Amino acid sequence: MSGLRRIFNLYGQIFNTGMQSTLTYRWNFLFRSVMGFIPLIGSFYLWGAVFTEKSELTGYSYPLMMAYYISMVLLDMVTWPGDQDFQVAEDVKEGRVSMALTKPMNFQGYRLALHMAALCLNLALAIVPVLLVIAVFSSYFREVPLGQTWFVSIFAISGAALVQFAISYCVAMLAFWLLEITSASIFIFSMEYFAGGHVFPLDILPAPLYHAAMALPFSYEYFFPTAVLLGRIRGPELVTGFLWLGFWIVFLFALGHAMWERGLKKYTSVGG
Amino acid sequence: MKRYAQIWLAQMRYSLTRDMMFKINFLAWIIVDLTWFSLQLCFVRVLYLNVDTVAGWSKWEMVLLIATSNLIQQIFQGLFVNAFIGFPEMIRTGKLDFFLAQPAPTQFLVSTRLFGMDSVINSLVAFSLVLFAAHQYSGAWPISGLAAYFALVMLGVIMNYSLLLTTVTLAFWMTRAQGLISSYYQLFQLARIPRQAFRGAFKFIFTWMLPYLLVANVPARTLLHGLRWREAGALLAVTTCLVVVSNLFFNFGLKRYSSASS
Repeated sequence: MSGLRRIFNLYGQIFNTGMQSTLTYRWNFLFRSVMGFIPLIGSFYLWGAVFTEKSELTGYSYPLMMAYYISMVLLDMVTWPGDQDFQVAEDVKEGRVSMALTKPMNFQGYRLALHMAALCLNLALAIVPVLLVIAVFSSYFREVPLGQTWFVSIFAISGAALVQFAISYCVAMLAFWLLEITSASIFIFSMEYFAGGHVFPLDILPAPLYHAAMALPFSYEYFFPTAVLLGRIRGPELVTGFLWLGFWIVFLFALGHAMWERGLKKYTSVGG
Repeated sequence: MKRYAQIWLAQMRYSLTRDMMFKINFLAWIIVDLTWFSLQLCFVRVLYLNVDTVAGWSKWEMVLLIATSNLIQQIFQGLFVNAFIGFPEMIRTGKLDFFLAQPAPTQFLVSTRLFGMDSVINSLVAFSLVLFAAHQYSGAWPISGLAAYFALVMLGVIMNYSLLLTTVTLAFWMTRAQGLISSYYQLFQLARIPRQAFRGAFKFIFTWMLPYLLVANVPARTLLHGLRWREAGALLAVTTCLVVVSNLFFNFGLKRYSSASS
């Protein structure tokens, strides 16, 4: 019991440190959140032009399409993993990882606790703008069965946050082998952006492409939780989706851990 | 002027040597940018599976618009973005001191310190697609409009430079500002949308204040339909204003800089 309490105390302390660190850089978060709405403006007008030609597009009306993009921006605001890939990579490059090695803790757990702290603060800072946005754009959510979907969405969003964390952690681990991880990070970002459903809802793709996209982890970062919230995924597809989500969480965490173990064998630190 | 050109060339030579030391990284950047570009074209393909035109723009006009915005972004990225990426960190760590001590304007040195050779290759790819899309649209190669097209593309590059300079200048007030550059990319996405799709206040804002609706739209339309003086004049006027404002803002921010050493 005392061992469990010790673990809670340890990661509780890390969580507190993470909260303070994120709070220090709150302007960065706020600036990024505001700028996150810019592509939304583009989507409003681009899809507005598309829907003047058609009233319905693969099951989406214009309001539902807008509800999709608004939900996506809000999700991004809450689950964004920050620049942790660059922070960890910098720690590896500068040899600061040595400090973590001398402490009785799991590095992945340490980063996860910091990440959870940042997410909690993001949520606290985002709650007012999120409610405001939903109130202002409530007309777009009329077709959305929020009463039925909100509860299951919480699990999908939590899973999405874990997948986002695990992917960015794996990218950070590349720093053990690469001098510079920026290109890898941007490559993953572009995959997350398109295959994750940021640019358009994946279910407007032809069926084979849609199924291929749903087998990748990126769709569980953004598209899946958004589609669950909007009621686009339900029944057996919802169960399959959660199974895939669970698989990717386990796989990516295991991959991150394996990369850390292999990376440490290669890691050398010089100086005091 | 000659002295500035010499300094810039020296910085380019240094960047090229640096790029060649990390060849895999250099190749990785080319692949990343080409992937990003291809994915944007995939979006156009998906969009036009469902409709014939968007805001009056046909598929090949839209491809030309996206290729033009990519061309502008690649030229801009090659010349300035790499230098700007590290700028907030230079302020935070006090490394800006080194540039303040040099016998040349700080803005010039900071803006031109890194050149991305990979963008040259990606610019050529984007330009090839511009020509191909124009040919697919009109059935002829757009030779006569190329001079005006390039002049407008360069105006777009200068406009982007001014806007990004203004954005990164905010780092003088924000302690950690890595999010600033990604914010610029969020804004640049608007350049890939036909201006005719916009209405009301946002059309005004993104035409006259943050002119992303002019930057790729005007050169793309010029190549297909000839030069329209009113649109080109608007792009020139707004870019000139932005150059002046961004310079004033940068110098104002610089006065706030107090280094970071003990």
